Amino acid sequence: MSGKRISLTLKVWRQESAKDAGKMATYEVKDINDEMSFLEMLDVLNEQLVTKGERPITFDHDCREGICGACGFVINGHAHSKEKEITVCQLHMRKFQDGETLVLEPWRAKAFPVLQDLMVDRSAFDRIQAAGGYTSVHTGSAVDANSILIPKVDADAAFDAATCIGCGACVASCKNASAMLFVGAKVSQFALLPQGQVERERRVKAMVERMDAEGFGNCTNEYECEAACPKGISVTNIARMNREFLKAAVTDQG
Amino acid sequence: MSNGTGKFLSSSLGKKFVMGLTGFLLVAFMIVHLLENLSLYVDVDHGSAFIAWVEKLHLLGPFIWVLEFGLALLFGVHVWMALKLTAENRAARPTPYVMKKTFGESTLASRNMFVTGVLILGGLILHLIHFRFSKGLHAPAPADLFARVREVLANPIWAGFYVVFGILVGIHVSHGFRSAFQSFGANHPRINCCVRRCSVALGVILALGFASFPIMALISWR
Amino acid sequence: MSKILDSKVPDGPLADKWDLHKAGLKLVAPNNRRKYNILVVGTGLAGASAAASLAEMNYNVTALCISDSPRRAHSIAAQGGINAAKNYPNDNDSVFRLFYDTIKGGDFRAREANVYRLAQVSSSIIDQCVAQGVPFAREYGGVLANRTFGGAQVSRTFYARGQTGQQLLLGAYSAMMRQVARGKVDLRARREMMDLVVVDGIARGVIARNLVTGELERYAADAVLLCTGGYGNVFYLSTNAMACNVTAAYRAHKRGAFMANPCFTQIHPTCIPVSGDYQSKLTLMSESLRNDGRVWVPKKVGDKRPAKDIPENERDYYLERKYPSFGNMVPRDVASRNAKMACDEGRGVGSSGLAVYLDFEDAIKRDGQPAIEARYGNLFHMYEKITGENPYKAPMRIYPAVHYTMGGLWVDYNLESTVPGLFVLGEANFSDHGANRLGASALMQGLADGYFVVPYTIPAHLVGRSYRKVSTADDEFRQAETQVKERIDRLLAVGGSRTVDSFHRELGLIMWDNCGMARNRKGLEEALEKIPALRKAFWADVKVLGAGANINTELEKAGRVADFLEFGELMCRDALVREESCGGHFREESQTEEGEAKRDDEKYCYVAAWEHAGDGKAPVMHKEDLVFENVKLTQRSYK
Ligand SMILES: Cc1cc2nc3c(=O)[nH]c(=O)nc-3n(C[C@H](O)[C@H](O)[C@H](O)COP(=O)(O)OP(=O)(O)OC[C@H]3O[C@@H](n4cnc5c(N)ncnc54)[C@H](O)[C@@H]3O)c2cc1C
Ligand code: HEM
Ligand code: FES
Repeated sequence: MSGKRISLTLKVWRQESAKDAGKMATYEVKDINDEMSFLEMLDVLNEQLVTKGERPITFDHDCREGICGACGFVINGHAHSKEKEITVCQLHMRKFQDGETLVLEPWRAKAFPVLQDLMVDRSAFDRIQAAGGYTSVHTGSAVDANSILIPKVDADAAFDAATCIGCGACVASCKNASAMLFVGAKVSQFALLPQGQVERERRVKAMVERMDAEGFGNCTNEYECEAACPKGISVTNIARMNREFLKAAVTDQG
Repeated sequence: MSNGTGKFLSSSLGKKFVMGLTGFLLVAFMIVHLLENLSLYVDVDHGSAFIAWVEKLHLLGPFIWVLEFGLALLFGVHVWMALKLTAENRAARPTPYVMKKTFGESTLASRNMFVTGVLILGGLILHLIHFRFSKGLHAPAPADLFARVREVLANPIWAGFYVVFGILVGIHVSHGFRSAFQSFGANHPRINCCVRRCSVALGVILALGFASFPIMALISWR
Repeated sequence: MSKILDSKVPDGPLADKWDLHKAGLKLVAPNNRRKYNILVVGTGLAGASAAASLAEMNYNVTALCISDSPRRAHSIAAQGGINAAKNYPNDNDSVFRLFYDTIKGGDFRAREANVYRLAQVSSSIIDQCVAQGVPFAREYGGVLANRTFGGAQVSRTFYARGQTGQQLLLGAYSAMMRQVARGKVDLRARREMMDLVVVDGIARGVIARNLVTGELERYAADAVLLCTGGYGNVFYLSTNAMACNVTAAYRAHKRGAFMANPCFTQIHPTCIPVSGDYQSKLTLMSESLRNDGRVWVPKKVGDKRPAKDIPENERDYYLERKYPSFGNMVPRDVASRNAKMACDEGRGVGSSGLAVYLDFEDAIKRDGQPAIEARYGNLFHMYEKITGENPYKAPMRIYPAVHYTMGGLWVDYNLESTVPGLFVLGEANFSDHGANRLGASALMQGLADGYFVVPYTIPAHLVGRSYRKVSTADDEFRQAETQVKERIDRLLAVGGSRTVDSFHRELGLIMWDNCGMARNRKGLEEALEKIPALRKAFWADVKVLGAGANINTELEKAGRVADFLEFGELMCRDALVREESCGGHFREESQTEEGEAKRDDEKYCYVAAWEHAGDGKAPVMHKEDLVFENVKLTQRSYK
């Protein structure tokens, strides 16, 4: 139970602000209890840095249990972690060996500018959501919940798509920094549900248009996004988005 | 072109769709082309079956120009979209990672679509100079073409070049074919496994098929 | 009842109060709504639902949130589900029953009228969420599925696997983003509210810090909605997200909003225990685990043998022993307190001795591992991910952790605080859960407040009062900004030797030991000496590097901890005054002979609302007497 002690070398991207150029810096972390989570290891390093009078390493985080999607950076070339279906905040130090060197880098994408160190600006996702990731139903105008019957398989598939935490690992891991998995998941959730039918065509067109305008790359269909997704969201959602988009283009009303 | 179509074609998904469509048609062309070339094996020394095939083509008269133009257009559009997509993809990540691992279904082929594509394009231009334009703007007569094929492939350097060319096409298609299915939205557990296998098989068949002619030439025509 | 505290609870029969009240409320005509600016601080369930609803009605809404996206608000972490009196399963649920369960669960320390309204609108919440595309669990026939939760005797909980909060929040977030696209919500992410601006006694805006540029920004409005969540992080370790804070609520408190029942905190019994002093937060394990797991500790003090080496007759299944009829299913507060007692006796397990076993051996023997896996697979997986231990082989180790804060800013029936124009929604207010919250009712309350209460009550302020036009250039805004700036400069100027976290951890320990699962006069008085001393040490020796004009996460934490250091004291005061045990508040002096909580309805059937009297002065307590006309006050018993 009380863990092993390990020491690591960290190479971390340090960047003061969006305007500044950044560089890698090297830190030795000694005597880490391997029961710690990865972020707690960074907390320990940060307290040491503050005590020494150095600026601590900035990274986004909040829930620390893999659901808010705030955390995320690249560790040794893997978005979040080489472990499957996990966010960095769920990663524990027992997964590392004593003496290992770890390279920590922020998500890299034109659409996700670095704000400081490992913290990036993911507001592009919010703007894509605003473009069409909703049903236009006014508060108070809903019908009784059970008047909409939804086959369990559809509800489950919609849930699988809706489980996205918006962390951006899909973009980070894609060689083209593409956001197709994120957008595909949202488009799919609504395409699968009766509630989403009314605005189905408008939605997919608007969201794709916004996605393109944000400067994300295209899809080469290598599925690195799926492999990196902490929620295991499937690329079948991208295929569904492609179909939806095609259908919307064919039935285009102008 | 209506506004909607323009929007479709300039969107990321639209471009991918066009890429897949032109890619598919190019694959179809490559298969027909391979079948044509296979006729070389019927009569290795005199190429009678090959010459007969080409003669039949020539019966199409001016219509062959239409086909040629269509084919050029296919290539043109495919290359144009490839350039745009690749430029956008590069721009989407201005700062590269210091360390990046690949995972998922990333393969040598998938990572290098543009590289193999450009090499194919280069090879293609030489290929056209070798055969299609060997006698100027007008296509050579069928028998002349066969003679030209013998002449070029008997040269070990060109033979080696065409082996590589065949393999590059195979690599490109081994990812491209299945990728196009996804671009069309055709992704379903029932077909995925089959598509994946077909894609690799197609790549291997095209690579082996096209590479086999220069090898045959080295063995029989020297 | 205190004159100052007018709850505005309408007259009339309980079931008609809300309708009668609504009928009497003023309206703002659709065309006039665009003339009003409403500021929503915090975009969790409460804030996002309010922002979306008000913007749909055509008010101009500005919304602020701390995180980089509203989708990350702490509401996202809720697992279990959301209650509603739909009675879909036909098991005799009703609005009254949901109301009664909530009032009783809260140990009769909540306002009847508010809780009844909550139960009334609960059905509409489910309708609204389904229409938004929230993928709730369904039966094969296509209808919504329900489950029982938290010991309720009816199945009224709607859920989306173990991610109900996430799905509900994404629903509210998407509704809000639709209004962002329409231009009706001006969304400002990465903004922290630093102070409330009060003009002529009315809340007229806030000062916020742009967490990216470090700039202080002024926001003026006709009404301010505070939806900033709970303050569980005053304990340092809790199941709350790292950015949860009391700053927004506490700043409003210092500007005149009363803080109600701050000592009412909920401690959840089934969390993964602390594993070391580096621990940054605690993880909740769904309480459904207690349906099959048996809780035990060794009988012998200091028995350090591994669980499997402790024979059956040397194990103490203390919940089953003490509460034969409820056994392992006793309510959260009882389960938590008993775990603490076992550990205090030196019978805790694990390296720290601060854990008890939750054992599935019998359940696995009885039902087989596949059945247990089907029921709890994901939870077992989560446990293994965090602890590295396999709970199918060895019993889980669990310990209680701070989870929810029932206390919060005092609000009347309109959800308006004692500062006119300042409305408080969601966990940030004190309104509906009394001294203890039932499972699956916080999500319900947040959404009720945002979707169905505040949109009706806000016109009462907007057109019911006269107030002057303000601009952010006004003196009040300038002064407030200057004060915020001075405080930031002071923090940066201390230049001491200790990190912010070290102070936070120390405060957390004081709070946990003295104002945690069990409280007594001596401990609370001790805490009331230690906290001011710690606060002094903080302002003398904290080390905050960098400047205010950039991203500075240490500075952010420092500001929040500084407020916790004042607020913790208020909590202890509140706990000290309330010499009864009720819900999550267990005063050791007030227990039955068997050691159970003893409520004192004679003396403490009131809401304690604290008024800030100025820095360095003792806060003043005001009482809102609680009147129960529709339920009979009973003592809870789980024997
Ligand atoms: C692990 C866990 C599980 C839970 N499970 C359940 C459950 O199953 N069922 C249930 O009913 N309840 C559950 N709860 C409780 C419930 O999730 C919360 O009480 C509820 O979601 C609170 O919603 P809220 O909108 O009031 O606040 P929050 O969701 O906390 O939102 C607060 C918002 O305010 C913002 N904010 C905070 N401070 C500031 C500031 N100073 N300036 C600007 N913005 C600020 C934040 O950015 C955020 O947007 C659970 C809680 C936890 C911790
Ligand atoms: C023999 C000729 C060719 C064939 C059969 C072929 C076939 C294909 C196919 C089927 C695809 C998959 C499309 C999709 O993903 O939807 C593809 C993609 C691609 N092709 Fe070709 N192609 C050929 C020539 C070229 C040439 C000359 C280029 C030139 C530069 C090129 C560049 C690309 C690129 C870059 C992609 C990948 C685009 C992406 O997904 O990012 N191809 N090709
Ligand atoms: S911090 Fe919330 S997902 Fe990691």
